[in-house]
Amino acid sequence: MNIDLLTLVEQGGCSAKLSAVELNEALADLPKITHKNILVDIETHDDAGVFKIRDDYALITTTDFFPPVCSGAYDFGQIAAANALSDVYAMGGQVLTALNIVLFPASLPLSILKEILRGGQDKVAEAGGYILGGHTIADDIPKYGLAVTGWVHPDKIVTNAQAEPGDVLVLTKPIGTGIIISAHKNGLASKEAYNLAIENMKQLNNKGASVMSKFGIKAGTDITGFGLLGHALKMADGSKVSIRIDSAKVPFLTNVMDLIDMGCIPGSAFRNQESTDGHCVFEASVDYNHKMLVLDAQTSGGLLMSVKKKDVDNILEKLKNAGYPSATVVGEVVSRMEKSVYVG
Amino acid sequence: MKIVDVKGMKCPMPLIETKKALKEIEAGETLKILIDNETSVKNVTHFLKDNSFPVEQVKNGDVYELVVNRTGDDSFETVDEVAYCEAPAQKDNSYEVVYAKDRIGEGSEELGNALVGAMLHSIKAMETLPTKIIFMNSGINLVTKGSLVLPQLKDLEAKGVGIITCGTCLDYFGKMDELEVGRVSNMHEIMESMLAVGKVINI
Repeated sequence: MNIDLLTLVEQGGCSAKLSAVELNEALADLPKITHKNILVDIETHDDAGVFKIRDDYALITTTDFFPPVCSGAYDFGQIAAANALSDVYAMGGQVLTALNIVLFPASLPLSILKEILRGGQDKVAEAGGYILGGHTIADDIPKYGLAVTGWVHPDKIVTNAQAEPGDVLVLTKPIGTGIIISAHKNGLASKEAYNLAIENMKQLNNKGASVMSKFGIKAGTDITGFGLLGHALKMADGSKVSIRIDSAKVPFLTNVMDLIDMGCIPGSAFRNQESTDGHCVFEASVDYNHKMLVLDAQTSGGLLMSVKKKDVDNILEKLKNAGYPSATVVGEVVSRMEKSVYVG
Repeated sequence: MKIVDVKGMKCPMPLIETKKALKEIEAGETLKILIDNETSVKNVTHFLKDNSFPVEQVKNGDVYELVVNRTGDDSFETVDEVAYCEAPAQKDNSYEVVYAKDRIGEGSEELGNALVGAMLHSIKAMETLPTKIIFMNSGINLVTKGSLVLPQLKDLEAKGVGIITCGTCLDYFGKMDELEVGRVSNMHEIMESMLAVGKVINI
């Protein structure tokens, strides 16, 4: 039985995140936890937590799950898994094990769930990890994701906190998945554009992480629900620097600019606009469409890494050879100024 | 008045329909959008305000009515059409300011320095701000450590004015690490932006 999963949801993927403003408020009153082995926690708005086991070994733990972002169940399983695994890669680590997180309605045929799980399993296997189990809840709208455990050498952790003035920012994948999915739901995206977006979301960030490790990169993140601008903002604040994004250089998926121009802008982009408002400045030369592009919520987006200028050509070549042909420089890190991010 | 009914549509369809309607109506015409979900009201309003369309919102039972003026400029409604047609087509008000030295004019250096501050102060008060201010040759002294006009420039930058400095110049004076405001660029970008803008003011 073929069911278009997108007909079941209003907001899919990372677009379904709570807004950063609401999240901060919800977390505001929780007491801060400290322990000598906690290397990375929520303090710097990082992608995952890191807990030191030995001086040469730390565990990375993270979780991510969401409602369908695409029509097909097998695709959805793969994308949700790639997205959850990405947080480990964004910390510079490698995947060890994962647990399935499943919410699934009794009203849908079980064959769909099987396909979702097969997608997840295949992606985790591609990442070199193992699914050890999971947990399932009956719920009206299907949701799928993973809780992932990975590892990293404590000296090789990549965080939001160590971007340095003079670095340049490299983005590994094109953006615009939120816009394409939204357009696809309304029959506005071409088949080609939709398929490219699906492939883009399925692609693991493992090889990007290897490049970060090889070049000793200390600051990076993956681009997901808060959009390129929202994640750049977290990096700028985490590192106490300012970031400049050159919006004209940001790579985007086929059809994306036409769709924005048509007005196909998902609500999540407006939510990201609200949560970045006041912390980011758009130069007057940035047109409205580019503004909404950098605010578009991504699902399983690429890595944004802060690299030394002298390494950038080498890094771009390695990334392109590793299967990220759109990898490019999208901005730079500068000394802290009044605002966190400046988009030109 | 044109009416677009997007009741029952989910995000982002109301915005798509709104954009389509805005393209169809004439300058000066008014558009009324009927929406019944709050998220879309918020998003469409956001879009309109961001693009400088004045918008009024009325709630009618469960339906919101957004009333928009196509031009973003009420004066169009009162201008008589003949006069409007004779007006120059879409005057481009955009401009950039280039500081190719760190003071204004020849003669007294002290006066020249003071005039830079006065000029930036005046720029800040202009109705239309420059899209970019560009610094070259000794002009870079205005954006690097020790400059007295950093507060004004930071202020302008926060208002969306691009503060652009020639990288070759910083390099030449050995001040690459002393840039205090704005960003480094190159001649290629500077030329492109000069060609794209309505007017370039050279100091």
